[in-house]
Amino acid sequence: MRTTIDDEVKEVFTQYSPDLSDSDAFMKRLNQRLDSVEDVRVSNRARVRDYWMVSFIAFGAGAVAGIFVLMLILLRPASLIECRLLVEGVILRFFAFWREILAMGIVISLALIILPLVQSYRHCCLKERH
Amino acid sequence: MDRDQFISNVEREQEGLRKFLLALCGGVADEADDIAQEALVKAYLASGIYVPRAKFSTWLYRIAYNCFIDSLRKQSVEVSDIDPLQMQNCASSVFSDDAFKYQELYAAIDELSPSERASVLLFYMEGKSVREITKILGIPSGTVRSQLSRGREKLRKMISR
Repeated sequence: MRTTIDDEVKEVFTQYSPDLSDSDAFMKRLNQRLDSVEDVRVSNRARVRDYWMVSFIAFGAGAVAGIFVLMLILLRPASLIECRLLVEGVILRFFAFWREILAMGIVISLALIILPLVQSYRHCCLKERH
Repeated sequence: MDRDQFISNVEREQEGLRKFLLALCGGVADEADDIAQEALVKAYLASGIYVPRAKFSTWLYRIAYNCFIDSLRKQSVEVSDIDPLQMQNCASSVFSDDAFKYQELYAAIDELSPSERASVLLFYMEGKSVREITKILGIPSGTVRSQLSRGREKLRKMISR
């Protein structure tokens, strides 16, 4: 009984042969979509690579600038004292007293300032390209 | 799997896949083709993680079935916003002449739940085994068998009419 029903149902689907749209047109449409996918993939890969490069440059530049400022402050305190004596300002005295902390602050600030600057430049370049 | 391999595999499977989706969509050719395109793009994006241990067609049908379920979910949200009169006018234009030829079959298939529909079509139309159907639909083999039994019974009523 079940086999008969099975056969009947199978027969219904054997006779089912709908007119599908043109296969070549379907594959052409698919290839176009895959081209778009590839374009997005390439652009994403480039963006990630650029992001890492920009981050690396920003970090390097920040570190170099920070070390330079730190060295300047630590190795040439006499110049700072001279300056202080020359200006005699309250702010400069404060600067001389807190120089290590300020140096650290400058290192961090430079790293934080350079990164968005380079990113903004990168965005401007991308906008121009598109 | 590179793009050429993917395309050659798809060229082999696309006709069966589109036929399966067309029957699932009740003869709405544009919708079936859109789902097929979406499924194939998703398959291409996931082709990097495709394990050749699994049959390509089984993997592809699974993605296509999930896309079909997603489209049903989207439709159920969108339909509530459409004017019924506008929908009626629209329906007459999207169904192909072919849909009228098989309207009884589509009406019978429409009686089944999406999962039952897929089970019946995969088993009787595509000739897939129960094991393959379990992989495609992601349900246990017992459920597939009961869905086939229910589907067969409903289709039998249609045939006997």
